[in-house]
Amino acid sequence: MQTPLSSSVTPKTHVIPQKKNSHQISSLSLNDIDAVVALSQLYFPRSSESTVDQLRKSMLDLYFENGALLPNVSPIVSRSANGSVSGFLGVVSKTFRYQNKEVVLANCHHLMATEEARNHLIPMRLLQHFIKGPQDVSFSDGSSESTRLLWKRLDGEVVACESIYYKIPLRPLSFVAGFLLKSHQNWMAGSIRTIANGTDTIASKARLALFHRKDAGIETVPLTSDVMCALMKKLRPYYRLFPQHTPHEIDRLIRILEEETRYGKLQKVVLLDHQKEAFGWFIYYAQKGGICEIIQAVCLPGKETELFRSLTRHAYDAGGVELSGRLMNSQFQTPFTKQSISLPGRMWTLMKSDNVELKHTIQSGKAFITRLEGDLWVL
Amino acid sequence: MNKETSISEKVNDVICSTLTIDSISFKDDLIELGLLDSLALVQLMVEIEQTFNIRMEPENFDFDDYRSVKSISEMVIRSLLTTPQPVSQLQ
Repeated sequence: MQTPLSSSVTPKTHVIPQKKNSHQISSLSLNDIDAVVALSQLYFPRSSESTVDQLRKSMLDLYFENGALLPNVSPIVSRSANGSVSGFLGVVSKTFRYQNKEVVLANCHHLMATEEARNHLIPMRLLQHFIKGPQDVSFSDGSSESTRLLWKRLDGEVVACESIYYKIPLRPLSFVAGFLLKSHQNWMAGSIRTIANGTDTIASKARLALFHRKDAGIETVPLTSDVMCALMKKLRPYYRLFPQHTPHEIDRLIRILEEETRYGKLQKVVLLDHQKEAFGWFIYYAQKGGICEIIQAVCLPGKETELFRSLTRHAYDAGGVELSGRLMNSQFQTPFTKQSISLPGRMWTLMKSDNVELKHTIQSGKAFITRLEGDLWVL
Repeated sequence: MNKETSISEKVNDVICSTLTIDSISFKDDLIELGLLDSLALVQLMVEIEQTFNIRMEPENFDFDDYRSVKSISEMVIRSLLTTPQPVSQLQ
């Protein structure tokens, strides 16, 4: 083949550094934790709000138990030629039940790489390495548009029904004021917020607030892992793909959630009906500024309205200005869509599997994967 | 000009316009040179597919195919051979 092209590279916009592509990918080890924490603080702004010790503890909790990596599928790192960690992809896996068979679902998160590693395609290599793992289904949850583009190129797909983010205004004027003031910070900001908060408070006292109804007879009590496990047994028949949990695992996950303080105070509530039977639960973080981020809002089929009302009321009472979360398939055509602002594509749930049946089950909303959100796969 | 040269030139043009460089030699390693990051690679793949009207199957994805004008041209030729194209599109 002829080579009619010029013999040197001439960049238009930048000087090209000469680099060797010698990055190696391997499983995360205990010795890598400090380097991964440093990367996280550098590339994830919210991580910088945590101390090194907090981040280290959180990663140890999430990936290791008694010093050993948790089984199934592990997080991965890339190393440069000198052995230093140049990239990281967090991975957590969970065993699910599908038609009397056990299947492993793995979720990846916190994709990050140094500037130098990015020029060696490390983000894509890490994703490819993960996708080629032994799990039955690979996920990337809460993903950015960039990750979606990479994922699609690796033969992955978007799970549309899990990719709708919603916001529910609890204090409408404060919500609008907060939204407007995000882009127009000035001396009036404080006054406008105060006026909006005051008006919302008056409206609530006059019972004019939108989400002040509470269903009579429904009781809210603190959620425990035992109640959650019992309720999950009731939920199981409604799904084809369902996680296998023990109270111990749920305890561990809730403890990790509670220890994470960056997102606010964890609220976890179970809903009891007139007969004191549990029919749903919700878990969310209530931040100081009034933003409430839902981890899970789950109920038995047909109880979505009660769940919605109890959740919004609870968040309102906790001082919430807005609730936000990811829509579940069962929440379509309920107040979760009718009384919220839907933001499709703000965060993508991405999937890759060679198993057509599993893919179809997940795409059709028959999998109980609810909220995976970043570094936690709660259920 | 033979078909292979034509393809190489087109690949060269696509690389230069996608990566905003003036020129590149036939065997220059895009990854070694730090010209490609993951998103640029995706963008390059899309441009190559559109230019040559081919589909690069994800299951055949290999980073080494995207290292140089040479390797990309070879991959395009392989793709064109497996998916017959009208002659007009190759010229």
